[in-house]
Amino acid sequence: MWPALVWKEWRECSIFAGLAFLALAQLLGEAMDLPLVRLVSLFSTGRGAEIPLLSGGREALFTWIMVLVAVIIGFQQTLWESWRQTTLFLLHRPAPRSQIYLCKLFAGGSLLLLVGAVPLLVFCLWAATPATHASPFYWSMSEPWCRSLASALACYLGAFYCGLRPARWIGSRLLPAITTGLLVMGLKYVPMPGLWAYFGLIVLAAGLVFLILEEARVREYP
Amino acid sequence: MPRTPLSSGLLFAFLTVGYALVHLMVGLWCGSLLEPILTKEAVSEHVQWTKSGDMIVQRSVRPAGSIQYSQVTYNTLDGVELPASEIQSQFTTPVGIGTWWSSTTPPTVDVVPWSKRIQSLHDRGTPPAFWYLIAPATDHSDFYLVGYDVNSRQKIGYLGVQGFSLQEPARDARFATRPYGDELWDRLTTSNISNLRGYPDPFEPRGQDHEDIDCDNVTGVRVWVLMGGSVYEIDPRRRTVRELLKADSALLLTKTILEGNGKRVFHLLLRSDDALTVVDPATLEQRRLALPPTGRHQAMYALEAADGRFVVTTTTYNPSDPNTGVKYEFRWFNTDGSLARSLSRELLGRQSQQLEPETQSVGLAVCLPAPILSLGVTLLAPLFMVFDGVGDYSANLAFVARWIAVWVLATLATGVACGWACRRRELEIYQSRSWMWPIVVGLLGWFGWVGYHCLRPLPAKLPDGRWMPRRPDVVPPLGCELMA
Repeated sequence: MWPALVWKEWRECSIFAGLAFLALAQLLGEAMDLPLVRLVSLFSTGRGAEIPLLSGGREALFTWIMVLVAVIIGFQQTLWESWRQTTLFLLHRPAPRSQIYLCKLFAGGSLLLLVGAVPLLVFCLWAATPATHASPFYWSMSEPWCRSLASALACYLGAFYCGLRPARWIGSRLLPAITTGLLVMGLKYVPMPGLWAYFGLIVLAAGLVFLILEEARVREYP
Repeated sequence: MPRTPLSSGLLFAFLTVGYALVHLMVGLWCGSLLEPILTKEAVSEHVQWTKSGDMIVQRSVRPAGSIQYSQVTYNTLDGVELPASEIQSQFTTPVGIGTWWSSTTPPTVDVVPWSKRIQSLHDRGTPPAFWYLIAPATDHSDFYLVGYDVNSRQKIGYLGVQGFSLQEPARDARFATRPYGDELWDRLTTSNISNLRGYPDPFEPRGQDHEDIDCDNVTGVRVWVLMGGSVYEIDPRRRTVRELLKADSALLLTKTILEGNGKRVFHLLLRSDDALTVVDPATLEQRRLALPPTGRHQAMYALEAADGRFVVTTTTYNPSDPNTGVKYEFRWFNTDGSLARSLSRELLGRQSQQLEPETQSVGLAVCLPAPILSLGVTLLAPLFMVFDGVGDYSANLAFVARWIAVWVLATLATGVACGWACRRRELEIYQSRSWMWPIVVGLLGWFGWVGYHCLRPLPAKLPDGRWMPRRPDVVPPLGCELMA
């Protein structure tokens, strides 16, 4: 049952994930002078005109795309099924609620990582290859980008929780997402050692997973 | 099914912080709408430097009810008014030579991001090469240069203290920059004129910011580094490093350009505690300008006028009240380094106080109605308030208390009211005698009350006026049991 459930989640989220993947491929391909479509670049004139991974504008756009798709996937996995009443059908499968929701979280999180990490890894490998660009490269330059990935995962969990928790939209429903966004911005942009930032993001993600499982446990479905 | 205490506490934290942020945003937005109505008249007075080395006092007035300085006048130091249209084109920017950070900033041990640890240079050679100043350690304690051929994108080699090498310099062969400030550029300067005032964008070596203009005495891209009591000159195009001169007491290395009369002359500036030394890097000719025995915490600026004279300006702020004025001390030095003239003037400075303290305090009380915040600011803010390097906790505490007294009192009243309301609700509705929620809500004030209300909303009210209990009594079955 679990592979089928994961496959169902991946299939449902694939549209937005695919669009985000294409956007990231264009964004990072442009830095490598290998864009999907030749557009007027926002950041540089092509290969060699910027130090890979150090362009603040490119990293900011990468972060925003990842956060946007994370929030969309988080809401889609909860609200979409809630509106279509398929949640009830799903929860009547012969499995504990916590396992069903953990399975959804695994599917969404892994898809998000796939969308962000694969283009980033290709970009880093290109930058680490000698004679591809006339500038230095250190693997530690990719740390802010990895932090963006982790931040997007935390935003995904925040959106997932808001979609799951029953409350008024013009009320308290979005407050946990706002708190998550505030904490993520602090952990992403306030200068601090990387380990502290990742520790903070892990604690935030653990807290949100705990709240999601608690909400799944206490929520009374008809 | 009830929540666990941990789950309740965590959700309460998320709801409270989220609401506080929304509340603050709405409050700031409303405040920005009301600000023009509540602002009083403010006057700003500060000095502008001209290319000829004269000082002009710029006086701006912001009328009451406006948020912009509109009435701008220019006067000489003697009070003669000048026409704005003529004088504005002569303004220029002096070089900052303050060293307050050298005494107050401890050695940086935090992680410095890559954006502050790398800088690109275009050597304009044939074939062209990009050179990067790199501080590989996360505390940017030392740096070296690495070059890349633009056409082949291959690495050329490295430049360290001992000159050019094909291997990455060991730590003792790098240029040491610690313990100065957070930026890599505090102890080095380049011949890049277009970036005289500000750090060039490190990410695009082909950017327009790097279109260098040669000076009469310095051509090509050079880098000068102050290290271990010496100034080193790095020439990336020739791939050489040499010790230019000794500068044992120097604290700061920067640069200035003398422009005028068809000349463009590059000078290095070395700031020590008691002097400013002007160095021509081509001839090594030096001029020593004696500085006043001021503290390192004072802001200081130097300007090389078109005729070669120097003006050094020191500013002192009033430690107890930054709105009361700024003391300027001007010193004009002749081209031979002798003091020609000195003058002291006290100006109003920029009056940042746009609203009355009580009005600001009311604004704080509306935007941040939480006792824990107001008390925290009252106790902690004096620790971080430093005016011109002077800071006394009790004096700062009195200063803070005078400003935010209304905020503290209002939040304390709000906290007591919210805590009391929470206590009543806990007793009457949930039949709980625990003080945990009332205390937490009392400390967090209005934010805590909203978070608590979202976490534990009011139950339904029964027709007889009672609140529906969390666990309603089970209705006894009707009829009688038939015993077997």
